[in-house]
Amino acid sequence: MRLKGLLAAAAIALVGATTAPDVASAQGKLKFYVNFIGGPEIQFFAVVKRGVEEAGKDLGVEAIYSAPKCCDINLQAQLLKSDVAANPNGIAVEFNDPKALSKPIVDALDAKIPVILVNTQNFADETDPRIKALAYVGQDEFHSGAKVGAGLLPSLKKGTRVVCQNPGPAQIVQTVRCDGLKKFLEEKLSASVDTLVNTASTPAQGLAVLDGYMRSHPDTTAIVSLNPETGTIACQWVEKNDKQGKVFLGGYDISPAVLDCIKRGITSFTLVQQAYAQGYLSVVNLYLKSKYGMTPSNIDTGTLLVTKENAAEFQPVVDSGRGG
Amino acid sequence: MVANSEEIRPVRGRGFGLLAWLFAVQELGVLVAGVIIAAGFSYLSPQFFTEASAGSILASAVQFGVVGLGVTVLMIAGEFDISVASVYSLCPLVMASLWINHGFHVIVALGLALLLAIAVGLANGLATLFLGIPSFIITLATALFWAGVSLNLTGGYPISFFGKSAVMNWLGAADFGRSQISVSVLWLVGIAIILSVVLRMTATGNWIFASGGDGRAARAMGVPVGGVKLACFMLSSLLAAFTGIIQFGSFGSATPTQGSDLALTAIVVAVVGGGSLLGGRGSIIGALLASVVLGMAYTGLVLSGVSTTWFQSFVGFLLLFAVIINLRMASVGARLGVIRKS
Repeated sequence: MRLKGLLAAAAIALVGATTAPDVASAQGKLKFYVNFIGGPEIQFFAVVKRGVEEAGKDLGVEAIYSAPKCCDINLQAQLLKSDVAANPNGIAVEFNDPKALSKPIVDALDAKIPVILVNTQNFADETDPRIKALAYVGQDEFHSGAKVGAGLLPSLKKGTRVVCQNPGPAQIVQTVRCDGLKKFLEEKLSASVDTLVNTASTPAQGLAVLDGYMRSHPDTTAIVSLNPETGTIACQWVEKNDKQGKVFLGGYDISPAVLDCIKRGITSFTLVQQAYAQGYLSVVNLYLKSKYGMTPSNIDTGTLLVTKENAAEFQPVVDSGRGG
Repeated sequence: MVANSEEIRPVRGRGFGLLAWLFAVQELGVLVAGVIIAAGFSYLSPQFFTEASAGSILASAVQFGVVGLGVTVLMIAGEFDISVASVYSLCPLVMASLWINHGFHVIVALGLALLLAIAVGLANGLATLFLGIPSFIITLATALFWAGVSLNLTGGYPISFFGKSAVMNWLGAADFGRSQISVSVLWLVGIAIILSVVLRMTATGNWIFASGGDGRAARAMGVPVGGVKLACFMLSSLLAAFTGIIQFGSFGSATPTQGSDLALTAIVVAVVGGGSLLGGRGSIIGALLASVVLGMAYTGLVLSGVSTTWFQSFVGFLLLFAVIINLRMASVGARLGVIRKS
């Protein structure tokens, strides 16, 4: 019987420990949700979450990162429904799927809850015009592909083969990036750009997938990786196979491992869309709207190309856990 | 009914009617957990008891519940199905692909997707029964296989449906009137009622309990244990597929990466609802309640401003809490002499 008592206490404690401080602190505070498709099990999302939470602390508001375990679009939509049900002062949504996420967003707008988009704006022709008109915090994904392509241009010859490592096709943003890269390199170099879906859950599996592709396509001269996890794998592959100077690497987002590869000259560059800023500035945008009635702004966070030359400058950002 | 080792019954004629019922009820753990969680979250968030959050809770409950009911029946029959998560993502993709990409009529596409699910369940059952390999291993293997098929079917990309369809409305796209509660709740309730009636009031139900409780004794008494288990495998797979199709109906997108944790969640639903991992015991009403409790936890955490990264911890705790309550109540009831473990 004592055990039962202990369990009951622990159940209440669990609810209390995880919620009581938030509720206590929420009294009279503005409350914002930032809804993404993945949680801190993916490094990029972990950094976004940190940006959201630190913005909440800095602004004295309740800022909640709301996401399922990566990457289930229906669970994201269900969570968004819950976010709307909480009737907060604003919601930022990673707009991954033009169908699944539209209804909860329209429900929020109908309920006069301010909504902005963050990180991804994957519109379809059928997307509600009110959603298309929402402010966006993040990088322009299609043009980012061209930006990455331009970064590779000096190293590549006409008619070469490039592979784009896509770690999550369910995140449409990844496809858009590869499409942008393909269009740019086809126009500029008549290059063939392949997409390699690399959804392996461990680095060893990921390396095996890339290795298989590179062995069957030995004419590949550049690998573009869409996140730091696949970027690290590409770096390892080049090192293992002694292909430095023969296979060029570029990519998206940053981690300590990717920065190290850049500093050692194995990876040429990475385009940093500043995950921390996406989380932080989403909350700022919603805060300004709620507090002062200001219209949320479009903010392009993806403007920085980290190369060997400026890597040292970016080191403190990565060291502080705010690179992403 | 064929006796099984896990069954717990009230002792009649001792004057402890209500007490005996209380100690014998398999759903007690989940009921207690549900009351604590509902009370906790309604205290912590004023939005917890609103129509919008009810819609959200029930939408989650449908996802956890429909698949959980199938797994519950299979576990009562003494078997596991780890492949439900893969079937959950595969079948809506097949339906969406046939319908949207290949021009099949939506009903035909739906029917073919469900037939595929039944075939997967049949294969799971046949492999388990004829190879003599535990169903956990067989369905783990098929889970991995079908997950790979899903990824390759679309290259990992989602398939979305835009526009209006009466079938999609009935699957879950529509809400009741002007409420924010999806009609998909009807599927959960309807399936729960049918399964509950079958399990509790028909010979088939007795056979399922008997097959899971003591297969050898059941066989000796003429129960077609193999056939019963085969049917339960097919049911589990069918309901997993239907859960995915309801999700496709509700949100309009099917993705190969959806539902990766669903197999374990479905087992949690069955066990928290009063089921036994050893077979021969379980409750449809308990599983239904468990799915609502999980939905309350999922939505309640969000409403209370807690990161949903706590959800898994919460589920782990809930599982332990409900199982211990069930076991302790049963043994205390037996010690007091108000219930009998037969």
